[in-house]
Amino acid sequence: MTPKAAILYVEDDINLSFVTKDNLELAQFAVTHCLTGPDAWAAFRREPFDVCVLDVMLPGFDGFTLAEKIRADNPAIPILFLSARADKTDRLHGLRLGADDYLTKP
Amino acid sequence: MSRRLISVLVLLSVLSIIGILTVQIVWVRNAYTLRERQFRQTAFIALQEVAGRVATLNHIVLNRYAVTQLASDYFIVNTDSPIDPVTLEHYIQTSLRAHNLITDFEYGIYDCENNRMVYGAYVSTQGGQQTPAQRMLPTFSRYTYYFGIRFPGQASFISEQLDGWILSSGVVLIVVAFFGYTLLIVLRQRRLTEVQRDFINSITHELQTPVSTLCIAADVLRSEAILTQPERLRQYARVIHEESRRLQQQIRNVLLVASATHGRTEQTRLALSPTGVDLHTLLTEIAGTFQPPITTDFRATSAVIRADRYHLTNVLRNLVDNALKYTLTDPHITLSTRTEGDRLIWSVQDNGIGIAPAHHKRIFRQFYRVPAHESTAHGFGLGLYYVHQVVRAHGWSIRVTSTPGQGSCFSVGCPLDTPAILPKIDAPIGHPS
Repeated sequence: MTPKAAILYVEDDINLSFVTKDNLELAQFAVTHCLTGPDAWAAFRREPFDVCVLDVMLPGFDGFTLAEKIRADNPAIPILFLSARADKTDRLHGLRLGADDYLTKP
Repeated sequence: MSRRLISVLVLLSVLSIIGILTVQIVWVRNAYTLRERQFRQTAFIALQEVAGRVATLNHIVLNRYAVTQLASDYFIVNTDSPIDPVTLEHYIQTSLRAHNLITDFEYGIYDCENNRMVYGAYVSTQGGQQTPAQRMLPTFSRYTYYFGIRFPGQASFISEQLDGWILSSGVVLIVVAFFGYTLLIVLRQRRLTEVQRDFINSITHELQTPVSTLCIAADVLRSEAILTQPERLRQYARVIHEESRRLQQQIRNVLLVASATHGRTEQTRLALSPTGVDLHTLLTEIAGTFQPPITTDFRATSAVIRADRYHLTNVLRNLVDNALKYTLTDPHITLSTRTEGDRLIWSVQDNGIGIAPAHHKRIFRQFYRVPAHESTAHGFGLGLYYVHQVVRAHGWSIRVTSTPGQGSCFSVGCPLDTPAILPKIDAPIGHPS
């Protein structure tokens, strides 16, 4: 079955990324999971994605830096932040960097 | 208020303080120079008058410019005729008083036969008493009959004239000091706010992430489909187990620090229950509970110390947890002991990312995290603070030696327990309920 969309999912927590990826795959999405900022950036340069789901606090460089790089490379790709940080400043910062939405972890 | 705006305000404030102080210093210096010039001019006039009176006494016509300044406080006065010391001193005193130059002076009269100052006296304004001249006054080869006069109290005389300026400078200094202190408080408050914000971010992340994972896992377990997927069910059970343990550990870490901290003063209030603990046994037990295996290197012949076993175990686990957390590849962790005199040194060494020397002291502060490590591993900035509190409560010392990229070594020094006061060796690791 053709996946609905290819997702670049960046999250450094092993268990959270496992359950999220599992559910997204069950919903027919193709998910490429990366643990660090640099790994995610390499994957983004290597493969085509339809959407990026990024955590904020990441090893290497953080989700904001990654979003900036992605947006500079591809102004059209949807970027979604999925973070535990619910601070208004973080939300605004994420959206100012060009993210399409900023969701807090459930 | 944004960090940039605060930095700009602080910079402007510091520049303002520097500007105010510079202007004040320049004004005081200018005022002093002006007063000095006034003193010199007045002294010239007064001494010129003295020379005139001496000339009149001797029935001669005096050169128009009788006064020559040889140093900032020393003048030569040409009289072109012999001088009687008593009369001269009277003339000088009268003339200086008339020009309001009420300050100490010393004078000497030149003896042309012996080519030196023969008569000298120091005249003090404190009762006008004469005392012998303090030192030999310099001579001047151009005149035959002259006297020299020095004003040793010139600087203090001028300073007294600047009382108003000095007072206003004092007021400015006090205002500047208060301003600087306020600035310091603002900066400290800003740092505390940043630390608090970072801590809230960390604690949100560390507690929210396992909770989120548990929520998603619980939703999955509620679905019918999972019952027909035993492998998936097993994985979700593992995730729930690990995340609940992790959450438990996080809460325990926060509670441990809360128990070691007393309100705003951050004074330790750890209630220790010290017993004799065989550190070699304890270290071996702890090393066996970690994966990958931890190496031990015991060089101390005896390792029995007096310690609170519960807190000591937490400290050791904390240090080993940190060592593993900050060793990104192929960790080699070593727990070692050695004896130095009557002290036991035990240490936890790793081959991790290391800590720059600038952070060696700060890492034991509450909520402090090495900025460069924040993206490497998550944490509250509480672990090493707790370690430090426990070490301090025991009266021990802790030292960190570390080079970035080459690992870290945390060494704790504590006195060895002596057999005379050694109570029974404690049982293996047991946590109070």
